[in-house]
Amino acid sequence: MRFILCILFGALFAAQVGCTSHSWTKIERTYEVGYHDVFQRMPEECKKWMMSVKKSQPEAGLIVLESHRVHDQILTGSVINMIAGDEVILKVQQVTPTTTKIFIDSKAKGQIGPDFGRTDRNVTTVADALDKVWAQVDATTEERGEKRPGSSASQPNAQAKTQ
Amino acid sequence: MAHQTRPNAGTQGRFAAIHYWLGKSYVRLGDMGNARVAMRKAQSCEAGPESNALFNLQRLQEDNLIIVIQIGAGAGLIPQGGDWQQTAYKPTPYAERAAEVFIDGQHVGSAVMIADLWEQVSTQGQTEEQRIQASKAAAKSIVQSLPYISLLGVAWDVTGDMRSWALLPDRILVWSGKVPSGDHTVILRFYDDKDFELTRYRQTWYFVPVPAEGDCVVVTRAARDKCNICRKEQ
Repeated sequence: MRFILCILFGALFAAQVGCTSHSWTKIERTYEVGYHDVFQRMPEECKKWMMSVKKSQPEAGLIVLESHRVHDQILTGSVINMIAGDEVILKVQQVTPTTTKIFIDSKAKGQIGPDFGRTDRNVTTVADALDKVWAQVDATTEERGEKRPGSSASQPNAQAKTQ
Repeated sequence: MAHQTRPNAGTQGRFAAIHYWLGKSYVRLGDMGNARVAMRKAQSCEAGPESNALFNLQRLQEDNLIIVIQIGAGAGLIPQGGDWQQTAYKPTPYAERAAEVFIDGQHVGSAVMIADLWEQVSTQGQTEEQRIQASKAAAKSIVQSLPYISLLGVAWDVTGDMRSWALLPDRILVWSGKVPSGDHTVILRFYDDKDFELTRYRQTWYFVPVPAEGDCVVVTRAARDKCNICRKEQ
């Protein structure tokens, strides 16, 4: 009996240590969209991926999505996580007025044991879905023109006579 | 951007933009002594030899057109750690690195950097908040390991503060010069790290009014298609 209790407590201890599971996949994409448009469209768009907006703070560049995908959660068998759900964070950063960078990460709240890649799937699901909403920006394809006059930066002309 | 903490002792005050504007204000108030001190402090910020030419009391008095150009995107605050208990700034990649200024079709020089916000962010030390967050995460892992009260640990959210100013630029460049009073056409050309022009970033500002007395300050931000009337979005 004592041996069984030790086994049970040991298993409980091991399970508790891995209570919070976060994704190993972190994705960063730059899209051709205005900063505020991201916040405006996200509540509508995330419903299509079975998620909902938990927190949206345009002034802080932060969107937190909540995911309750039961078919995924049954596999991992975490009852607490079925209640608490997963969190997907989107850190939004304006690059230019027409381009916005989005960093995506996910965390399983109250996860007992491994999540079998569920949080990674959260990240890739959101990234793939966003790819369909907005076009990605590739900085290497930016149009280039002539070489700069004088390869090193020239001194500013303090006495610029323009007339 | 450094809303969380103070910078390291060695880098405190190394923000030439503040001293530059302070000096400009003192000049307009007629306080040359303090303006000279501000310029000396700006030079001590080690912004570079090109910037030091800008931090000159005589130029501060004479220049009547100042063009402030914000380039790039500021660093973003992202979560770190198993429980997202910590946060760290990550630089945002961007194309433009330098700007050349043309007034009425004449090349008048380069804009020089007076503030590098990534340098400000990357030289700040460990904050009190980070230490508290580390302690909270350790306490949470202990609580989670204890029988009966482990559920409290699961419910305890120790996520760090991920809010950051998402609209900040990465660098601030300034060009200043003395031009005749009246309306001028200012053209800005932006260049990448290999000194090739980013053609879609070019900006043209017509009828920039320079007064006979006082200064004209133009503040702009580098962006693709900013001066393209057919752009998708401002």
